[in-house]
Amino acid sequence: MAGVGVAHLRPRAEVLLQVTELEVDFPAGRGQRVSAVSGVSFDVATGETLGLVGESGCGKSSTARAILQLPRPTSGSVAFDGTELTALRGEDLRRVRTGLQMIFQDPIASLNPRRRVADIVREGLDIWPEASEQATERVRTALADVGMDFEEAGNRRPHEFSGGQCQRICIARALALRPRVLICDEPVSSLDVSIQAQILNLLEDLKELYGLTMLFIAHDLAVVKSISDRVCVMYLGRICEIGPTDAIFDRPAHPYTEALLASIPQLDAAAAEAGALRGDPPSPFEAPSGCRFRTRCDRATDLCAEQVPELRPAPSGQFVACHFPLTGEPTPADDPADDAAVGHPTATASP
Amino acid sequence: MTPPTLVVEDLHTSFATDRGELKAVDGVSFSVRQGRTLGVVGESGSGKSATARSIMNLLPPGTSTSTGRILLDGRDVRDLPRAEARHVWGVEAAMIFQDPMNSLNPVMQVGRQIGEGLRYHRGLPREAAMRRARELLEQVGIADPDRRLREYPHQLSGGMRQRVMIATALACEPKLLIADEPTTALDVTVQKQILDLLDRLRLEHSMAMILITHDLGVVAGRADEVAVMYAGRIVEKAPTLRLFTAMRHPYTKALFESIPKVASPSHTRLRVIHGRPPDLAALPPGCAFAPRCRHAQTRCLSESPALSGAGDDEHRFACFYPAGTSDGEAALAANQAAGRTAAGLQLTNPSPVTSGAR
Repeated sequence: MAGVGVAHLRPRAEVLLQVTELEVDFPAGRGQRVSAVSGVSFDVATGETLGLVGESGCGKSSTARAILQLPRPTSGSVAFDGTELTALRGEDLRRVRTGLQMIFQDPIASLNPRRRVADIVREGLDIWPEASEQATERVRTALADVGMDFEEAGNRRPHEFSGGQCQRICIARALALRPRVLICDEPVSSLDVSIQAQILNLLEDLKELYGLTMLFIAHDLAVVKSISDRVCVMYLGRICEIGPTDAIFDRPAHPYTEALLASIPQLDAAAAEAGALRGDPPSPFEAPSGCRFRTRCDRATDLCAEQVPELRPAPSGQFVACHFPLTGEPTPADDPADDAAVGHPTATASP
Repeated sequence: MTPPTLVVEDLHTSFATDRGELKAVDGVSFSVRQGRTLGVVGESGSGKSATARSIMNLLPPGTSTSTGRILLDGRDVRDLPRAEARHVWGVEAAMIFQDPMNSLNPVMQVGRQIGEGLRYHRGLPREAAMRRARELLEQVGIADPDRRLREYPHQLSGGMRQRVMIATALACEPKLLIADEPTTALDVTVQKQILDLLDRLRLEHSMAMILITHDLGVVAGRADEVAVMYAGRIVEKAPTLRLFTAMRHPYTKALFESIPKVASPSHTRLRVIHGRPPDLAALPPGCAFAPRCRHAQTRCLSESPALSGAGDDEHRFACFYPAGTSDGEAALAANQAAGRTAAGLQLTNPSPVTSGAR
């Protein structure tokens, strides 16, 4: 299996969150099941930010939700600080889960429009009696930490705030429970550029202030690069490549990563135009055999159709799931001349 | 030189809301020539879509008022009798939108949808319209067009739907194509395909194109000229290369600096634009960007700068203290020395962008 393999995992004692061979299926009617995540493994050490990047349908959100057991994964293991979440039930699970909080793409839709901001941020605290004693103080602090004033904002309702401010409220709600892990699912994609920068800077500040470990999901590569220590690139439910941010961005080893980087619009009017990736991602109902990227890959051979590539070390420090990884000259993001669409030798390039 | 395909002169568009008159477009003028692309960049509420909808006569009737001249091939489209106007907006000018799912008819087969304009405006019989629709699908790069002709929008992927939208827009061979955030809903690899496609078709059909986007990166490599909008006005307009090499308006510069760059090291501190865009129903006097501007002086709070080029007709900007000029740098330095701008914005960190990795 593929994008499969666990060679890249660090010892469980060294990491805060470890996901092993995660599988998520959804029923798709007529007895069919669609696989959203297949055999995904990764880990996040304390204080680290792991960026999860990929196009729509690659399973990045399903992965995040499966970590929180919302819904439970079909199979695989999720270990948070040594506790196996998939084995927990009921109140045990809910108690452990206070340590993992999540923020979402659409901040306005994630807030109950009928409730007041202070009550929204306080809700999680009211559930746990030991925390509810200092609840008001915690709400005040959480709001202050995201740059909002309790007195001014606490009694107002979400519709009175802009998208950026609503995202701040969502972050405050997550922080009020003093989580150790913050899962951010496309937290800035619905925001304007200038507001996006405010939220990204805020998340960096809060990470230090609260000692947070973050899983940051986004489709925007520049955003992911800006905030992540390590990056995991996904395609159609599998991991293509995982490793230190700089290695992935400066010397991508997977042809898909390279194509993604070449597709980013260059912020430079004189930039040379690189070739685009062909076609759309295949439907998850008809996931290609072997390597799932092979139908859009110029390096693909018969081997790619037959065998699922396993994650193995690449020279620049990341792990890559490809039979014919890019090992040649460095391909920095700002020099997309060596693009994925044309000119690669197809069959004979040996790994 | 041939006259521009589209000329917009002093366009004002406002909407009646319960908070009063909301000025979405406030005195916008520009022109686009045949075969050229004008990029219009701005954040939400900057008036870029309202400008497009004013040109296309797609404003909600009753609650909106729009004044100013819109000349398509020299004719003021607002003065035309109804039948001719219908021809203009059906045949000569076309528009594609952000969300192709919402702009396609979900219960009509793709082929009929593409051919609809041809049958209505050009009077083509059904078979001929179908044949043309098939050709158009091939042109926009859809594989297996015979099958796709008979499919419904929900059977297509997002990228394919946008291709169908483009085919529909091009069916009557418009002289002007307005693309309003055509790739915002699409994945980055598909975005590139669609932008490349639009570029190719613009050249092949020598159309004038307006490419509206919130993403400076999208216009960087593709537009011939870029107009940056803020609070209903064009604040800076220049040939693309010149804009990117010398951003004059502090808003353009700040917008550019607030975008995370793939080339920057990770954890680079982003420069933020403090505050929020102004309320369009209660615009402040003076420059609308002044409350958020690092260059703002007393003059900016009362006087509204005109879009002018200081002798340079190609690169225009609406600012009294533009970046990269002695006046602008002096204003910034004075504000930094004082720790605040004339509008009261605190300047705590003089150079957050260059502070690099933390």
